Amino acid sequence: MITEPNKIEEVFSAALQRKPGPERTTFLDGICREDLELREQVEALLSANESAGDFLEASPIGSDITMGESPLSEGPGTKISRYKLLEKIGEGGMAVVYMA
Amino acid sequence: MTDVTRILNAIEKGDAKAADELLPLVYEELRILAAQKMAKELPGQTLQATALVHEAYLRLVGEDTEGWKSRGHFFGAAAEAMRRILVERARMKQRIKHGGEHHRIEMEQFECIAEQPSEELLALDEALSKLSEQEPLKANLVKLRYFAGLTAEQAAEVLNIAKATADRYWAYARAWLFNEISKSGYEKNL
Repeated sequence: MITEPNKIEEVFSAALQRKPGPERTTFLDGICREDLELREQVEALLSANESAGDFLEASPIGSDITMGESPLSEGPGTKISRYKLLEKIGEGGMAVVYMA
Repeated sequence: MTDVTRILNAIEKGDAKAADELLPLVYEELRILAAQKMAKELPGQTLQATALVHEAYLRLVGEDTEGWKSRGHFFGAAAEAMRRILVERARMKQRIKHGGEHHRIEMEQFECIAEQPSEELLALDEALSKLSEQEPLKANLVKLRYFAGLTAEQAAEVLNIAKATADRYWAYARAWLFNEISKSGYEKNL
């Protein structure tokens, strides 16, 4: 039987509120009970969440198109610092356009 | 009143056909803007998604003082257009990479572009399409934040959901996509 995405999401979100470790495990034990499928899916998402790092946290576009008028003074550096840099500028750009 | 403003007003009044007119207009504008920026390119400088989308907004709609909600349809279209442009670019780079000698001219067009993980972008796009089938709202949230560069608050307002709900959806969608992409082996570079 395929577990409803809603159920998975509900348990995942609730589990995220619990501290990783025994507290979360106890919670999952209680809520999933015999439903191994649900348990497995939620555990997979929790582990993905742990290792996702800054996945999707920065916009991808800056790494794709190069241009001359950008206020950025830095060139592309390491992957991580480049992503951090772009995210920051994005919000700055937004504020410049819409704050008035 | 610009074409896009007219279309946005029509969508607001429930004209379903107007929504179909919006995407091509926004797509075309973003493509032109991106191409112009690239032509003026200096090495080592990068163009930013948010800036591009907002410039397109100013050109197509103009200044306005209304909230994000009223601009929602525009940013929905812009996110989708941005996704398409990036995926097309990534596909073309893949073709060039595997294409050999006779693609040399095409290659020159791309010499100015910083190395970009096109495989990863395509993997993400594939995962996002899957998520879209099951959870269109969450997939739209990801598109708005990732491809149009909206903040969590702005995206929540555009989608007409509470910020807390948007945060919960975001955490789920991010984990879901990461898990999906991990299965295809690209997670290290994303």
